[in-house]
Amino acid sequence: MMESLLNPQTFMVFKVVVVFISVLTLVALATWAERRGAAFIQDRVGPNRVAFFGKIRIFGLGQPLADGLKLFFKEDLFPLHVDRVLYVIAPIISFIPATMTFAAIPFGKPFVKDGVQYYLSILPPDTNIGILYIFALAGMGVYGIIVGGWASNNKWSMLGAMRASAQVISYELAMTLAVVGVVLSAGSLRLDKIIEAQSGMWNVVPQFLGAIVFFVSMFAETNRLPFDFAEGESEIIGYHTEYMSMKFSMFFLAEYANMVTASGLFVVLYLGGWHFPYLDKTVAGSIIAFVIKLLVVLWSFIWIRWTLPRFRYDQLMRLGWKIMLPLSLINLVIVALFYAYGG
Amino acid sequence: MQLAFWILSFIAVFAAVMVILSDRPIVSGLFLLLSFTAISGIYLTLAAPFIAAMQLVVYAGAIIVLFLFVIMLLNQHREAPSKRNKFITFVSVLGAILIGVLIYISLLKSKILLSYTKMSAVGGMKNNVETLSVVMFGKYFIPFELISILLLAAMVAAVFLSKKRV
Repeated sequence: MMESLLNPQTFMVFKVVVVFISVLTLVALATWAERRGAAFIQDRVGPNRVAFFGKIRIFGLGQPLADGLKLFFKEDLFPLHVDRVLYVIAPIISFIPATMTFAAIPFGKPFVKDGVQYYLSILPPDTNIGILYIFALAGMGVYGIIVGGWASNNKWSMLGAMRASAQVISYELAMTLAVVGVVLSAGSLRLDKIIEAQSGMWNVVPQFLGAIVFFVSMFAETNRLPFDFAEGESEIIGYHTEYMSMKFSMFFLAEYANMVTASGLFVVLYLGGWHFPYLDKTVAGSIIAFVIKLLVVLWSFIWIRWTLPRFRYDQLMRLGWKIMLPLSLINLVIVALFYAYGG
Repeated sequence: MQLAFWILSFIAVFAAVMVILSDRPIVSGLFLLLSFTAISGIYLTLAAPFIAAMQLVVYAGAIIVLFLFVIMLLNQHREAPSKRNKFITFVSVLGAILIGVLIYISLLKSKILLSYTKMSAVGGMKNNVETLSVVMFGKYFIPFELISILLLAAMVAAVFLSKKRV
């Protein structure tokens, strides 16, 4: 058997392993960046004490590792009043979709070798549902919060769960309508076609309104400040009040994995995916361009979290239904008119 | 694919039965979610990923969230056990089975099974979105628009009924 090391099967396995590991590594880095970024913004030092072998402290980069170990070895108790089955299932429901959604995102330029086409996304783009796959799975993530809040049998947790369900419904609508504009301009649901359509100009320029709506809804969908009502640390502590050790950390990981995926999706839909002048000539360059854009958007998550205060609940609803939804509709109408009469 | 179909359909039916048997409303809602998810998996084995995704987005993603929201708002932990005559239970179970068998027989006799070659236009991994949209906005354009007007009317009615009179 003299086969080339690069064939579709091995490439697939390679992609799955590398993407899974890099997303989870990015999650760990994001937790570190969040703390250091918070400290930077608030003029503190932040966690910088964790050292490898007691000597090497690279700006406290060992912190996520230490935190992970701590959470892993912590005693796992069941509070007496919880619903045991749902209590265990909830973090799993939250975690699985969060790690699955990234599979549809093309993170580099497709290339041809020995007459075989290789795509740099785990899900083959031929399935034709690219973006719907992400929305379908991302919609599942909120059940983790709802079930967790309910199973905890605690009024604050339940408040968090109810807020999460109302919030997700409100913002998913505006978000999807904003994305319809992008799909309309690309003429396809396939994410690689959407990136291809942006080779001249990134979507963020012609569909500025849609980009704003998507960007804002992204924060609501991932339950990040200024929309972190499900958690609301300073008022209700939130859906994971009763959670500890590894179950808590699964919620935590899911939140950050959702952030990574949302950033990736924003880059693909509005910032031209792996396109970048001069850098996207090679495959490696295109991957680097994508990762850099993703990191910039990911940083904006942290930046905004430590800059803006939390909204009030009625303000959140008013913003979602009375501003975001009309804005995305206006964007959709403009794009549709342009492609019907102008393009 | 055959095995996947059996497993998924077992889950779907089991979850659907548990929706009725569970005495906690929120657990019923979650079993309904499981059932919808399994059905979406069945669509995938039929090579219709678009419909599978739509099933997840609309039914599993939006509708069940609304159900759970309402259940949590009512804050009902457990359904009150209903006192029911055993004879009536027996008769209704028998009636349900009879209706199911009749539907199955009429489905076998009907032409729906014969027309599967026409239905497969929506299936297939490639271009199924385009095919679906051509059918929906070409051949069935007027029924589609009528349904959307009906939904709009229902929405307006719901808003009107729930609005506080000033």
